[in-house]
Amino acid sequence: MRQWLARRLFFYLRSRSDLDKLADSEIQDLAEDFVQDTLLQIRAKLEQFEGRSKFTTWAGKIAVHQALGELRRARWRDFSLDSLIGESDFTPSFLVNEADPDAPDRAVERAETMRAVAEVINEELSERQRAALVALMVEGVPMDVVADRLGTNRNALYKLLHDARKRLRSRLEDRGYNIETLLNDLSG
Amino acid sequence: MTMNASPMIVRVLRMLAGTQEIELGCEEVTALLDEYCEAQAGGEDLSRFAPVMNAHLRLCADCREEYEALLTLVTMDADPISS
Ligand SMILES: [Zn+2]
Repeated sequence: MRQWLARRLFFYLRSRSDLDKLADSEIQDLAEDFVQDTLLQIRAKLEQFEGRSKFTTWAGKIAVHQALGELRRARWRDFSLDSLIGESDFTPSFLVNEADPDAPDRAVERAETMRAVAEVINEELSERQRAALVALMVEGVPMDVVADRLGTNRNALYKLLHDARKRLRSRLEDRGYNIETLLNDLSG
Repeated sequence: MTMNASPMIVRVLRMLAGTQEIELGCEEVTALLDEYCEAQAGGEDLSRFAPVMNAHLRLCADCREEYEALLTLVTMDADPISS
């Protein structure tokens, strides 16, 4: 099983574009470290194995969870939510300024729609929900990293966001908006 | 870090469009992940997992990455004789 994990993890890590600067020997070491940590976890979680999959697949799941968690945290080590706090107001900056009198009707209409959506986000979400939402808008930032910064875990963060999404959707609908129509108007 | 607000709002709306009343959490998805990947690797019918599994994997980048990695691991031809 150790072999099974080590070989596969090595090939998987070698295929990742964010690790392509590492030599094969370094990737080998990285894979060995992850397998080592995984084996400890497997020992601790052994009674959770219910035989719903092969043992190697179950072990692979633990390895992947462990390895990717560590890679994410290392890669985003310097990520801070503080730099985003100014962004947690969703009102687009170009909407704050005086509307352009020469803009075509369609552009004015789109700006109005944006403003309405931003307003619902700003008014209906808690500060924590808004912070989580803004953080996840940064391209590629992992849930694990945002959860760490908010002092929570991935599962609880997902739930926080799920509640936020449901609330936004129903509040927008209360105001007579339809999500599909809004999307068509704004991205079309 | 500055972000352009209008693509942000469109992204939020896309997330809202995919929102279900009941969704699986990350822990529930992780609990099913080995079984799910094995079923997929074996070409089995995945309808017993869908659409709740798909909805979560669309919205959660971390679970999606772990799913893709595990599927890669279980479908990999990595035994010494073949590599
Ligand atoms: Zn998840």
